[in-house]
Amino acid sequence: MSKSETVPTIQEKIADLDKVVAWFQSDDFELEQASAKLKEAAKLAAEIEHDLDVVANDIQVVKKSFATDN
Amino acid sequence: MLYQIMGEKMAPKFSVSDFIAVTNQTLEYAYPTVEIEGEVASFKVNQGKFVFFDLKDEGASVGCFMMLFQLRVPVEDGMKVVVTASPKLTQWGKFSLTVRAIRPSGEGSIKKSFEILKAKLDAEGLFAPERKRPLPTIPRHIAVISSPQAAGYADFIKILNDRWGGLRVDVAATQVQGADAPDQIIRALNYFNTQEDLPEMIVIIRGGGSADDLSAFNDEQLVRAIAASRIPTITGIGHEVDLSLSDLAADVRAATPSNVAQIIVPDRKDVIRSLRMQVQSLIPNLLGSVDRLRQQLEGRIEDAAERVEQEIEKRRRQLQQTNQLLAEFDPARVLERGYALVRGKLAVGGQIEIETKNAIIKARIDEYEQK
Repeated sequence: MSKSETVPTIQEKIADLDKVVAWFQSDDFELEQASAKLKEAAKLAAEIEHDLDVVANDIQVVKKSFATDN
Repeated sequence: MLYQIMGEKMAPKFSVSDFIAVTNQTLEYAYPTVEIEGEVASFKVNQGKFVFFDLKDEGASVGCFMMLFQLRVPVEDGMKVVVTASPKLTQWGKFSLTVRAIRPSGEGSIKKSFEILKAKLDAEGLFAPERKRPLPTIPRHIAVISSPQAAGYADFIKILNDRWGGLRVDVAATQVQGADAPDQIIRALNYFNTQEDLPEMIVIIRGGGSADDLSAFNDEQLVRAIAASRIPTITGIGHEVDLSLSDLAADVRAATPSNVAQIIVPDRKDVIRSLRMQVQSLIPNLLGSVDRLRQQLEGRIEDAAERVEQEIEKRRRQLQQTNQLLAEFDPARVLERGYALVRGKLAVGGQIEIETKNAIIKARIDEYEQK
């Protein structure tokens, strides 16, 4: 597995954050774990914010010509 | 080819077949492809595959021939059209235009053609709301079909980059107006639909233009290709008031290319604001949980104290009852009620002591018998 495959995307990080937030509302909530979960949420939010500020879109024009069927 | 001397000039001499062949060569050299605007007359389809009609104006008329599969828009007599064609002399000496493409011309004809095709495709269910698929909330990989030189494309990319990052954008460069545009866009649609790594949506973009400029997006085969795409599609063609059949067939229609970018990705500023609020909202949530736990504990302590008090009261009442019972057996209480206590040897001549409430009496037994 290459390094790029292991780095979570912005969308994956947002999904992870949503899970943590949902945990606080769920039956799985335990006060003992809440502090660690809160820190995890804050860390994810900071990472996403950073990614959104610095990551650019990768725009590539397809080399294939669509002028003819070939 | 033979040359015959006519006076001092040499006139070419042909066989009939050669003359027609040379004429066609000359026409092909001079006018390989022409666009001619005129009004359709005597339109007919033969054997389900050959189309014949006359193209005319106030002063002239020319016969036209084309294959039915090349007819991409509805055409009727009286409709003003532009044909893309090659002039040709048939082997019977009849001059005609071999038409490769035809498109309506002028507002009235464009509108009429649009309405006929719209009704046809609508009846087939291509525009039905239940066919519309939702777009992913935040895509990772999108495909764009447009002309990268067009202003509409530049607007789209600018807004996209302003709003979001980390997106993979594959762009198919095609014409977005003219006779070749529909086929190029169809090829691009097919290309993206057959990729191993499918994009999550296909964006079709074209900036503003005249009705004629935008007419490529009313091409029947293109509209069908958009409707058949296995990947959800979104169109941003022209301005808000421009509605094409491609727009109707797409899963989502945006008003403009910029509007496409606004629809497909969120604004990073809004997302950041929302993230901060999400995390902040967890703190009162956590404090609330602590408070609820404290209230639960307090409630349990109160319950326990109440149960202890109830137990004490129960024991106190039991003790009271025992005390009352004991009091009933107190000899003094018996003497109070008028009874007497007798002590001593119970036999004739025996000395006994009799205790009453108020006295202690000594006595001798004169007589004694068992009951």
